[in-house]
Amino acid sequence: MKAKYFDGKTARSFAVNVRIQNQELLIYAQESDELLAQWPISGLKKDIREIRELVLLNPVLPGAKLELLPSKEVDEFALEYGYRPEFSFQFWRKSMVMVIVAIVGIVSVFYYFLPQISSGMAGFVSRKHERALENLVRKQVELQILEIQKPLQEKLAAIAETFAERDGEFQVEVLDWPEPNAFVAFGERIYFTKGLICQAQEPSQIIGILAHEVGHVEHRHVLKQVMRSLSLIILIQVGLGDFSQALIIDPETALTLLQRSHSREDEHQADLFAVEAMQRQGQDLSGLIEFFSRSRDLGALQFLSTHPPSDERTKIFEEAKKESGPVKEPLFSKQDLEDLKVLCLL
Amino acid sequence: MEMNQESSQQKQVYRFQWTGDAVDLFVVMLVNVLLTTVTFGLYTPWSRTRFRQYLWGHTSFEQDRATYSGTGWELARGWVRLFAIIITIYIAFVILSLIPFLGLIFAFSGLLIYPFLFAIGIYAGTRYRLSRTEWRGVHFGLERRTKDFIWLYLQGAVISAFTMGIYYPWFKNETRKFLTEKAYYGTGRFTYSGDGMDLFKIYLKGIFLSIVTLGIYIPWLLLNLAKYKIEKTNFVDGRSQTSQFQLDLNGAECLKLSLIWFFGILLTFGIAAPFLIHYTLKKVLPKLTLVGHIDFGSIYSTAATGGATADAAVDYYDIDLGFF
Repeated sequence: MKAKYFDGKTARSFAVNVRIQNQELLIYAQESDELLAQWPISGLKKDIREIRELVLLNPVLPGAKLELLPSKEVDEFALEYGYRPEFSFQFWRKSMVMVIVAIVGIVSVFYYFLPQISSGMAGFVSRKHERALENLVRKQVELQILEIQKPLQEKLAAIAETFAERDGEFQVEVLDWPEPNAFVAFGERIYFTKGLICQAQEPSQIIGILAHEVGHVEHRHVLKQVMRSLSLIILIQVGLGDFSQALIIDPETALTLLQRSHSREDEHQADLFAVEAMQRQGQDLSGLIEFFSRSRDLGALQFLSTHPPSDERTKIFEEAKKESGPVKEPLFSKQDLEDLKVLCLL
Repeated sequence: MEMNQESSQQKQVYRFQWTGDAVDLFVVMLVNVLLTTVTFGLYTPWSRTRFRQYLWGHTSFEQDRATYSGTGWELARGWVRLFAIIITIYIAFVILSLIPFLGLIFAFSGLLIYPFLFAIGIYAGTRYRLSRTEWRGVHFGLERRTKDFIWLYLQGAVISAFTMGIYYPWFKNETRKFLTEKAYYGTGRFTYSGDGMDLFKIYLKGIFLSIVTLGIYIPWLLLNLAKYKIEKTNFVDGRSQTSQFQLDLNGAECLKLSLIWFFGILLTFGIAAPFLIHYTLKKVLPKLTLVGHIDFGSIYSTAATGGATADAAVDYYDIDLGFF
């Protein structure tokens, strides 16, 4: 076998021939055939830092190395003494295993640990502190709030408490926005937009959407989403470090896209909460079904939406309606809706 | 028999070469990025080590590859120590700055903390990396002269600040000289014959032309600086024979590389980084040579020493170690 030999004492490189005799490697200088060293095979170690070449180290002689040049004899020697000849394959196999492990790790961090961690962290924040946080945000953001009649506002808050089955500090407010929408911020404050109020045809639609938003409050989705965002930012910035600059998409866009699936889960959870709460109170689900049937105009963009597809949601409500018992007196009357719709004239 | 026969009259040219593979490097970097991400950055010391092992292991000089013998654990311990030091300094400053009068003194002295940490980072970080670098089984190293370097660095930083940067070329030259001349390869030594005035002229010309050409001259400026530093560096073997480093790279090639990097990173959103590193090393390393006489048999192995804390500091503060 041809090899390069480094004695570990000087910076010389020797071109050598290596012969095997009595479980020993005899290292001869190629030019003079002088015996340079005699290494017992049993004590040798493969240099694991080398990817493509078989380099043997002799622990007795620090710095000394024997680099076997690729040949059929070297392959046979490596096979016989357990040094595995396919170094390149080993490198690839090891790398691929690491890539798979890392991808599985990232997927499990994202889909399992991150929601767990954010839920855990959200649990440490009391409702009182969440409300304080909400007040802080409210001071920073100027919102155009439309004033609702006091009794109506109290009624909506009371309905929210009924759905939540607990005493809270629920507050329902209407924003002067033309787009039909409803959302919750931190705490127990629920916002409806003027657009949504004006589009609502049945009181059950308002009630259904309110139940859905109470679902978000009860599951503390906003807080968890903030915790998730923070964890993701830490994951991207700290984890990738310098490499975060070299992402396919910028971290913020990545963050937004990654959060889609979680948002959809949250919406689904809030939908289920709404169905259960409405059924428990014997409220009519047809308003919700009608509302979501009318909002099927997202089309192909639904993939990017934070909400589950309207078809899916309608199906859930339709099935729930079939299983529901007799409808009781509505918590929110037609007259209440009429009173609320006064806002549309403003 | 020694592989490199040399003639006593004619100067030999000793060449560097990059033997790495772009796809292998891509895999190494991909694994590093993924594992670093999944471990929230805890894998960083191991990823740095893996990257260096690949880089060192595929850089050959006279057809023999270098080896990086540092470990992830060493770097990890270095990171822990570094954070302990930074936190201690920070807490000490916060507490002391609360004391009237003393607070003012500490606020001013705090300005010196960064050059102080940079000096430690540069010197001890270089020392760690060199001590973990070996070629043909012989280690590189840097003498234990951290205090002298800190003093030199602080002096240079303060004078540069007071002269509005005019002293900077001399400062860079002095630190370069110190680092080079305290470095060794076994019993072989390095020398540096650069002059502050020469560097000043290069900076002056480079800054002027960079302004006039709206930045187009910058690759030439950087190349001239690198070439000057490299070509003023010599290696002296055990028999006191000298050989000089040379870099045969021109401004156009440097500009081409800069443009390839710029568009390569921009158009591939960074994915091409391993391929660009591979391309750069493949193009640049063969242009780096040592010209002169070296008797490799006269260079004997010495012990390697150096901790990893400062290496972590070098990474943490993103300190440029230049040639090293």
